[in-house]
Amino acid sequence: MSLSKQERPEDRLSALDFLGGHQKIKASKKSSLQHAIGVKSFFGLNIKQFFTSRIGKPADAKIKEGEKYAIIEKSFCESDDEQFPWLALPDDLRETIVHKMPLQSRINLAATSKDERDFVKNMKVTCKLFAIEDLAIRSTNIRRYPGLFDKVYAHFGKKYFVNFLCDWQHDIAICFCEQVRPFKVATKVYWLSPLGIVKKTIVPGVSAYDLAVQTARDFFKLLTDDCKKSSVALSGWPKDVFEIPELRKSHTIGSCYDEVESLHKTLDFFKPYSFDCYMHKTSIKYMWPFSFYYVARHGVPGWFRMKTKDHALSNQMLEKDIQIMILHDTLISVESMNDFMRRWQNGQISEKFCWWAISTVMDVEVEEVIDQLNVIFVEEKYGPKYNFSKRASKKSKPPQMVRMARYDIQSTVNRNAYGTIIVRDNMVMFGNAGCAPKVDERGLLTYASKSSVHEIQF
Amino acid sequence: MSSTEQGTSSAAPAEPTTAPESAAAPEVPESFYYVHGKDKVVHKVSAGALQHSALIHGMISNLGYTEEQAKANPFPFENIDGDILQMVVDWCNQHKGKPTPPEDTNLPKQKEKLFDLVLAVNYLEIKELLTYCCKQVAMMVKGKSPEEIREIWMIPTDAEDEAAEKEAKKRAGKEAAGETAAAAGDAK
Repeated sequence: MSLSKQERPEDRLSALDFLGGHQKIKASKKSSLQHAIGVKSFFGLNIKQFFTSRIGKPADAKIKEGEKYAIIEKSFCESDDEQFPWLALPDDLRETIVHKMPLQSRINLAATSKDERDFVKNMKVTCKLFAIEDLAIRSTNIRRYPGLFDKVYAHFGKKYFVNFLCDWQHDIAICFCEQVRPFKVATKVYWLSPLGIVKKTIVPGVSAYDLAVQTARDFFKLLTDDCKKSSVALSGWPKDVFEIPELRKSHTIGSCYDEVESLHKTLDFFKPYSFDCYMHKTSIKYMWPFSFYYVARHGVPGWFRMKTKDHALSNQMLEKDIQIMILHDTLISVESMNDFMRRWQNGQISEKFCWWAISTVMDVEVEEVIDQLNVIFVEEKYGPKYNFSKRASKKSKPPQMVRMARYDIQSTVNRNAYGTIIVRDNMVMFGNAGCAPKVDERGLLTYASKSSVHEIQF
Repeated sequence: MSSTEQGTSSAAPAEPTTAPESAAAPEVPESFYYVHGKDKVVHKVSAGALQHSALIHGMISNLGYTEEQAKANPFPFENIDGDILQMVVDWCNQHKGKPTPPEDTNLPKQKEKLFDLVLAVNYLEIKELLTYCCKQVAMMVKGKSPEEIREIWMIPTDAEDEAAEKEAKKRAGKEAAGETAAAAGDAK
């Protein structure tokens, strides 16, 4: 990979360099394989140069001894001459300290000696958020970096965004923009330097998508196992992304869907891990411990744009081995819901099941929901119908009141097992007693997860 | 209460139903404990202040130390210098029952003292103070070049490392040779 003209040598001290440095350290003995690996490996080549020249091989020879001490003396004339015996600290303390260092300090520490380089290299990084997104699908995360967004926004063609928020006090935010060139592919890479300046590099011979996925995979190698939040917005969860094993360990995984089939694919992929997932607009999130599925209400009617087969696929959602599931405005039929409850009543539902809350685009009749079920009426309440349309909220009309009915259901297999059914407007909530969320008369569903208390409006 | 409400009631904050009673209750006198460092100077610390230290707090709760016992037998921390222990005790007293601020500017600037403080705080398991100290140590090298970091943190160069390793190997070899010679001498 060649450096672009805009890039100065000192600019190489960037997020990409850090990544490339790690790649280099790991791949330093594989240079003969680079051609076999393909053009992707060239991505790290200029980074390698940086690490060859700096990390682990500080240019001591270039600085005369006298000059070196003069620099140090100048830097510390205001402080005392004492030294800090870094190596005498226990490893766990050193690690804690490095975790409090900015990215650039870490790089500099890694450059002090071979041992320190190994120490920094082997030290995993805690990641608060990972995002890999097709900017045509989602651009909310990139908007947090206006400089980067402005540069990329004007770019024509396919654009991908990789973002890591880590504990090194410097966000890794990189954009890969496909360049349309006659007879060859190239990718323009924009990234944030540790100083927050947007830099640019052109990587020839590799598509923006491949480069983005490869970069994400490489970054994951630096992270601790418990990446707290991941956001994947690539069309239909491509296979490459499935192959990132660390992704499965994220506390929350978000994705983007435009059809139910991909949703099923993902559910099946995460099946052995059971997941919490919820969908917001056209995105879907999986929450650790992955037991919960939620499709949020979208402001535009018909957002899910379901095909004919999607009706059947929607109903099949209730056949999955779910723990918690929330679906907004789906095509799941009342018969399917009633069938699920009947199966629960007959002890045919997994013990792991907690609850689901589903609203449909069709009208829901309470009688149909509880049809032929062993239920006991508990209470009824009235509350305003929730209208998510902003236009509607501006109207001065009084809100339409809707009825919320609550029933208890007893299992025929286990006499001690009770369930709760709540029907409000076109929403049905069904859950095991003790696990079910709280639903108030306004349709606000409140539930607690490991991390916090969540509220969802139905 | 229905089962649904029971399911989420744990998430709701506990209501202060007993607040009026507790306000009327007489104040319990604060208990004090005693600690000493390497210099054997005994420091009197309130139980509230000692809450910061997971180690001491664990000792008190696990061993069931009473105030009288603690007075007769102060907690010995022989591996902590007296002035460092004083610093820690002062910090605990200052932050007793208070939320810890995001930054603490009262930490020692001298590197040697900071080193001892970090080790002491790590030993005493005072999480908040350890965070401040680690931040302070990390900031020590902020904006410094690798050469400067090496000087401040006394990190040997690769060449120095290799030389030290060679020397250690030589020394080990000599010692081994000496031992075998001595063993041969004994055998004779």
